[in-house]
Amino acid sequence: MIDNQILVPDGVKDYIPNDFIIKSELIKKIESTFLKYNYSLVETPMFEFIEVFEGKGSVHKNQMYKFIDRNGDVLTLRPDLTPPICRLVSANNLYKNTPLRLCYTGNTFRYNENYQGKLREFTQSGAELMGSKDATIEILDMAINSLITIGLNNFRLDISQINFFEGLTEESSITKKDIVTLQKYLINKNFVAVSEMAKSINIPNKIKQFLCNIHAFIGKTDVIENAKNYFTNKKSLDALDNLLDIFDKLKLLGIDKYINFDLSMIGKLDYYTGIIISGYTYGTGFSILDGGQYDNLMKQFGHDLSAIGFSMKINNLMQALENQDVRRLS
Amino acid sequence: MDYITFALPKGRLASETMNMFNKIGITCDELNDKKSRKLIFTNEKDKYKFFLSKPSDVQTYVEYGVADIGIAGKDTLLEDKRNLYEVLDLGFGTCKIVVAGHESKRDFIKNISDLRVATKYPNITKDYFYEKLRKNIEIVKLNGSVELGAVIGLVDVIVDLVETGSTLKANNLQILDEICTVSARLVVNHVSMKIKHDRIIKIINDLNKIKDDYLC
Repeated sequence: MIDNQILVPDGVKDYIPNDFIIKSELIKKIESTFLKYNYSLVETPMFEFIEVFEGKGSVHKNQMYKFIDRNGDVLTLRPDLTPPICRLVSANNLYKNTPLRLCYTGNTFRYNENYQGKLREFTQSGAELMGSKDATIEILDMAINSLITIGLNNFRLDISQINFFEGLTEESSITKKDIVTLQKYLINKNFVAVSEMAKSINIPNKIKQFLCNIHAFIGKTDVIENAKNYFTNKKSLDALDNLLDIFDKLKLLGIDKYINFDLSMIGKLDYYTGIIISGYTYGTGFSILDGGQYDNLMKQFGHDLSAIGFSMKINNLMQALENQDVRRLS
Repeated sequence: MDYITFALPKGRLASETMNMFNKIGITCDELNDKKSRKLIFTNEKDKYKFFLSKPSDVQTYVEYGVADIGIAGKDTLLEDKRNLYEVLDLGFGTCKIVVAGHESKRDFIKNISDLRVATKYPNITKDYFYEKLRKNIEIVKLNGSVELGAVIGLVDVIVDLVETGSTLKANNLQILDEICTVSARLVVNHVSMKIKHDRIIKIINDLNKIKDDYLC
């Protein structure tokens, strides 16, 4: 018989002293980096009204833990920390003092077998910058320095630009339905289906070639320069120039070696509006950092404010650091 | 340089894969030694590692990143919907996923509401009946010899993988509808695709180049 008094449910775990010290030290180092960049720590509730998460592009409702309170309102354990931060900014009139720099650490909850190495409760430390002009560089610089501070040196941040894909769909004038299918294939990283679809629909030849070889558009600046040859629309070309511009600025800061481009990355279109970021390293099969620009999300909470941020997946970082240490010793 | 680790599906697909890999210069002598009791086979010179696993487990090893690259059947990918890069249709191991049953069940599928279906692929089956026929069905999960379910009367129809159709024919079962065609796919771990990018892209490009010649 399974003894529920001793065991924990699927996807949650205990942190015994050794694990706890590693985790809390890791969070301390990350937060101290955020504080150096003048970010202020905030905290939001563990559960909220489900409406906070029901906007565009948030986590699917089947992945949320939901329950009903005594008033009959549906509550959810937070699956994501960015919408609550937007709500906090809006509800407490913080949007008046821009640029606004906020950071946080908290646990998030998702019913998802294929997420975070199957953990259903996982910790994220993140930062959000709102209403600032040079936000992208600051956020990327801080993300890279946070990863260096915790002792990682072999990692990559992959970046892409949402507008690039939007331009692509406009130039190829494909139907709404086909766009949704293409997005689905790209999000699932199903390049076989992307190339089969490209061959079967009526789009400009150059774009066809681009989609059939999309796996080759992951890399350094040469990839972006090459991609320019496949498009004529201003939106995509501007997005590509924007990526090159970001790269040049990071070069001045001496941190360009951590940056790579991945034009197959499209994020969630409704949520993100510009740059999207994903971080990877050895020792874990999952991303260690995710983020991007999300102007639309603030709009949903009543204020038209540019916003960009990222969150670091603490559990994945712990796993990566542990595996990388083992490798160094062996 | 780090190793690139391959998860191969045990059996015929593994040897077809290695044939194709040998043509692009990815070799492993240890794999050819049939007497070996090793579980992991290494090519020290070019820094490749290989291991054999149950076909339906390949994607698990790749998703968790203990293998960088795997060869998996499209049927298992459709069934489990893992978080992986599916980069190449290798073109071999081609089969069909079909709905099969006695000829008398052909109209039955469309008209009768409480249909009972046996399969190894509950998700594919559910998707097909719901998306295409807008029908709720009762699924009976079987792990092998799925045809038996229909022959012996456990279920109305089955959803299964068919290569030649001879087993169906021998048991007086007909293909009532084709759901999709599946074949062997090259899958790549999310992080490996980024971190070992140059070497993996070279493998994909090389395979792409020889694929068409290989199949002729």
